[in-house]
Amino acid sequence: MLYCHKCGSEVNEEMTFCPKCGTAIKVTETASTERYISEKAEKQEKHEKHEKEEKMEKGEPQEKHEKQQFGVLGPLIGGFILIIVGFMFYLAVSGAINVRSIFPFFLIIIGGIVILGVAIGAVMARKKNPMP
Amino acid sequence: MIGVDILKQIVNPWHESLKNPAEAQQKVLENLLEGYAKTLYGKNHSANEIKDGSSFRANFPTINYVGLRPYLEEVKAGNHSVILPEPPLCWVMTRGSTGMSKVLPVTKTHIEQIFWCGARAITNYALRKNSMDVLAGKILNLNFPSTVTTTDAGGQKITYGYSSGTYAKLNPMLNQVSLLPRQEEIDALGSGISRLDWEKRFELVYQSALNQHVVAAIGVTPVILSFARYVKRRHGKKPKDLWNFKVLVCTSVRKIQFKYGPVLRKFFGEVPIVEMYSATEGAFAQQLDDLPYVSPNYDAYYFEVETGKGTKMLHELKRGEWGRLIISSCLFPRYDIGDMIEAMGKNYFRVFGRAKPLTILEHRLYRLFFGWFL
Repeated sequence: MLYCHKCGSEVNEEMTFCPKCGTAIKVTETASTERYISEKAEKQEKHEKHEKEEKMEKGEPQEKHEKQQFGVLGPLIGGFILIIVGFMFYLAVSGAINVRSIFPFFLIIIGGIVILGVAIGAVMARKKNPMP
Repeated sequence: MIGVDILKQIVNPWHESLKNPAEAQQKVLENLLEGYAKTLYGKNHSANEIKDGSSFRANFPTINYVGLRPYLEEVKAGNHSVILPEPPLCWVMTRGSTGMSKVLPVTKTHIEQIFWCGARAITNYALRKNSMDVLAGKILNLNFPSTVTTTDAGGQKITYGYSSGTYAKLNPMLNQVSLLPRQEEIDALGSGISRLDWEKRFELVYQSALNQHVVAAIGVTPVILSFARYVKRRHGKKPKDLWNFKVLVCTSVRKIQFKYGPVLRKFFGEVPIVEMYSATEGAFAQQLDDLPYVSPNYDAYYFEVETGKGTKMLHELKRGEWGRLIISSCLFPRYDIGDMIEAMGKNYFRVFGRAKPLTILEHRLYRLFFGWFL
């Protein structure tokens, strides 16, 4: 069992700080606490990376990163527009539609997307702004 | 265990003020004017001749932190009555997350209001849900250090630090009874706010709280989230695996319920999140019920809003009206705090960001597209 050099409380090897007085626990005579923490963080990161690789090898599902749920709508809409533009271009090049009719047709589709986007946004806005 | 009657004393004045905000605001204004009349700034603006809100508005211009600075220098030199009705108890600094770090004097009345109004969010939740256990357990202390730097004030060297830590330390009930770890222990780790400094603090919080009856975390929302991520990264467990949280009281950022809420619940479990609108300058509003809005402390602060159609009282705003918030408190009259607020109807409000061109543009576009449906 280790003891805090400041207040004498019992601490264990896992602890970085004394739980009673908050003093940094000296782990070696030369290494600073900061170095100890960064080394520990590195070890942890390596361990996590190793675990991740193992999981991937086993085909286990990864925990979804929480940031992924923010801001997916923009790239989705952007991607959708690109697909439509590409498809229209393909139809024009392959002669399936008249080149001159692309522009108005494109506007109609974009207008439809905008209306759809606003409708979805409105539903979400209502959900986020309930009436008192 | 704290008695229900005492708890009701904390929230009842707020609930009463919400029933008749005009009357509550008039009373607050009268009290504030008594204080302002004692100051040189108040005398210069004829505080003792003012009887109502419109003459208050006409006599006192709005003032922001930059405008206050010359007066604060005077206060620092020992002449508090130039702007403050009472001598400063201590000085505090803001985090400066939205610009420069502000250094402000705080008075006894201000501190009392912070304790009183700051306790309303969790107390109201406990009473509303009849869940007194949220007040019986420990609270994670994720505040900033209260000792950072020293300065000369009135010929004396004074030490000051971040407001959240200072307020926590000065609150004997919170610091001595509930917080884990105590604020003095946080302060002992130093004043830095780099990633490494925060990791030290988080480790201390983690170790102090391990195997303790922790029921809540109160503080700046990104700090609460960073702590959760740290615990997961360093110790391989989420806070929900270690403690049984009853409530999270979150403050200082916008979109708490919809942006941060889902992420916080991943780490803390299916726990209710109670929103507070507080700053160094005061504890201004908190969530009243399950609706994702805040309701102002009309009994403690005087609220006005600069809208596109002129300045109005906050309680006069109709759903969808919005503008720049002006707050008069026991510290400063008509203080432009730099936040934007939108009325959601029936004394429910949403603070949607700082008064910056991009935030205002974003809000205008939002109202343009979706305002019709709200």
